[in-house]
Amino acid sequence: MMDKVLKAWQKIGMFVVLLILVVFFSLTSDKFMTTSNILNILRQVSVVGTAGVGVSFVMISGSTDLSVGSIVALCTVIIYKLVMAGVPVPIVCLIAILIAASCSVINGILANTLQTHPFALTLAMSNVWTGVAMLACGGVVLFGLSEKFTIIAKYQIFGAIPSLIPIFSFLAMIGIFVLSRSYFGRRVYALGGNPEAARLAGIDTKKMTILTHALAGAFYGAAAILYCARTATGDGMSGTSYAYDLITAANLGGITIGGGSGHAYGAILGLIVLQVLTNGLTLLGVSEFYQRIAKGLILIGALTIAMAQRKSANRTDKEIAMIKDKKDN
Amino acid sequence: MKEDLLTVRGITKTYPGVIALNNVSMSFRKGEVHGIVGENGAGKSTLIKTITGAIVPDSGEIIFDGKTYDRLDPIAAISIGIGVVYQEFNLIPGLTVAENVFLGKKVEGTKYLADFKTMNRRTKELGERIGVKLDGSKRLWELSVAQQQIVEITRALAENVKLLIMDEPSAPLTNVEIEKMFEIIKMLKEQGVTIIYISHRMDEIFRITDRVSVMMDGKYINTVNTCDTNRQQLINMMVGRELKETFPERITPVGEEVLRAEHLSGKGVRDVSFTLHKGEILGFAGLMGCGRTETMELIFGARERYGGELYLKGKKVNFRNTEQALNSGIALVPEDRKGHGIFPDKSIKWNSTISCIKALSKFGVVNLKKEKETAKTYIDAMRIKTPSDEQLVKNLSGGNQQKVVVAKVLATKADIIIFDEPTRGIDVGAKQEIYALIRQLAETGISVLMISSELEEVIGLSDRIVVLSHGKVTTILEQKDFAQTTILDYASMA
Repeated sequence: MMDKVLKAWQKIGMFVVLLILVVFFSLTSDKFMTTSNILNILRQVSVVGTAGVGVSFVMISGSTDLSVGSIVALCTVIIYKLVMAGVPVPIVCLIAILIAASCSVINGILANTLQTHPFALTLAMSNVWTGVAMLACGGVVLFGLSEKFTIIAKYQIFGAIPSLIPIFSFLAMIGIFVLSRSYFGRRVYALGGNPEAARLAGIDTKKMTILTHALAGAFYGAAAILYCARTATGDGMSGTSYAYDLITAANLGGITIGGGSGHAYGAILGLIVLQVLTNGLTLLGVSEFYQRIAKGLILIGALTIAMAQRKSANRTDKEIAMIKDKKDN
Repeated sequence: MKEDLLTVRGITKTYPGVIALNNVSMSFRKGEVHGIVGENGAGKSTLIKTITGAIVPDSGEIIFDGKTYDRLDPIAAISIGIGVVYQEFNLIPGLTVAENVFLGKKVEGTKYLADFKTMNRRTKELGERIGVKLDGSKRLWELSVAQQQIVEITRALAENVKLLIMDEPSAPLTNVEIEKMFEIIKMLKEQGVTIIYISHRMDEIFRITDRVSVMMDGKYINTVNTCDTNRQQLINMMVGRELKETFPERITPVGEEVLRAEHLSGKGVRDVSFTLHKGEILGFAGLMGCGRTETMELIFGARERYGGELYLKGKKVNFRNTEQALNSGIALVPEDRKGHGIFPDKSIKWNSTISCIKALSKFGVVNLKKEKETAKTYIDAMRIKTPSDEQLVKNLSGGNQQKVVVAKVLATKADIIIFDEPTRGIDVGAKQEIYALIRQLAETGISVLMISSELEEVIGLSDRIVVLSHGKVTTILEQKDFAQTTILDYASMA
């Protein structure tokens, strides 16, 4: 019985949580279920979620990236500077994506050569990128990004839906598709599932590490573009909470630390849950300090369930294996 | 007739949907070495676990040293003198030998603090009991695998063990180390310790045991005196049918040269030269640490090459990674199946197609239909018994897991396949299938490099045998010169 519940939870758990949160906040706050509030949540999800797709790639490949936020932040400053210097918007976007990809590739190269845990490595690099970003922006938030650029987010589809949301949905679908349907995606899972087996199966794991990071970096760059378009600012500190939020979201969504399993849409769903929670609690006037406590506890809850699932899966697996072995003989 | 130390009577253990042990009764005499054999899933491990108290049987009783127990727990089992040496050691690398030996035990003469002097002395004494010199103050990670196993045995001795269970103890050891282990077993036997010895290796069973019991499908089949039986008889009992352990004959002659290694060197490989022909099975023999696996990894581009040349069909090649080797038609079935061969949390389909997934894709997108067809082709070819290609590989038996690894390699359509210990830890039936497969591959023109620690396997399958010692080729034997003693001579050359 318990096993079945846990198995079902793996599939629909986050939907259930989301539904409960939405119902709860709708009943307790009359501001929650308004078009403007829902769109606001989705706009927030769009920016962070785009980076989240990139993080999903890195995490599924068995690595982790604490420098995601600092790379996004660095790119927002660069975008601001370039746009204000009069560089055409499409070229700015291209440059932002290339720079973010390069920063992320540096993580990959370091991971390959230093053979150390990516946790420490990306922690170090996150300091480097934040430092560079702060130097570039002079330590202040750069306001007043030109209309030329913010039009990306201002454009409304069907007269109501801000363009950020469809752009994000499109990018997310690309990410989900690449992970689940391309041979590259298969290799990302192979790399995370068992790196040595992947290597001996004829996969150039070092090249894969670089490519995975490059692709993830491109998503970080896209996130920076959406950030600038939405807020009309360049901010060297803009991404400070990204790594925390995204790793939490990925865990909620079934991407485990260690890699090899989970899906990008799970991470996005996890992120939506986090954003709804933050938004709803804020509307209810719950202080940010309590919100932090709630987020932390939710992560612990998600980890507890993940552990129970693993145990339950192993239990059933053992039984299946024994039945199998009997049949074999 | 010596009296019995341990008797299990009517032990039954069921898991949902399966009977792991079915009314098993067996007796073990004082001071005998008693082998237990059976295919994977025969119930050997489950039986051992009931004796050590790791699991509780549904019914039945255990009579040990005159006392009857209906169940044991691990602590009780240790305290009455039952010790186990598992394949994977339960030692702590950062502690000293003596600390490991006395872990969780009180040393006489100490009050509150650990008395290292006494511990080291007692460790030395225990070592002397089995004829080895043990330095209690050494850190465990300084020791070789064989020495660590000795520490495990010593640890059991420190508990005044009366029954020592050894589960596949020879698996991590070299031939020389196995001899040493046999000596220790003999000494323990002389001191009246009963030993239960579980092994897949028939030659060891015949070397070391007094009696041997056979299990099949969770049932006890029979116990025989080792000197009254033979290999074939045991195998037949294990599989419950006539099964000839035979090696298929070569029919088609070998073709032209496909691969030539000249003076290869790398870590653990000093100077290796050989040629491989189309459709040939080239065996590699040698003691553990002789550089066999390392040589294969050099060829496969999985390891850095310091020097030497490699020619593929006459063309000089230099693989910097495994992907280049695979693209040139070389594939590898690795030695460590669980660690390096399978992706346990993925399906059979996923595993069998991961190496060739690029070829099954168009514009980078995997063609799911082609993937399913390819998987089916090789699942059928390998006769992997599974209800569905979506079955996770971790749920398969060892033999079937190995077949999945081979399926993965075959799916790449490689024309040179490296098999590193292809039958390690798999049961007799699956072994036969692997032998037949390797021969069949060679007949169809695929060239095979095969490493095996089981000499019979190398002799039975190979067309020629390269013998390595200390990273060097000591000889390349032609079929007419194949003999276990010759191979061992060359393998132990300095």
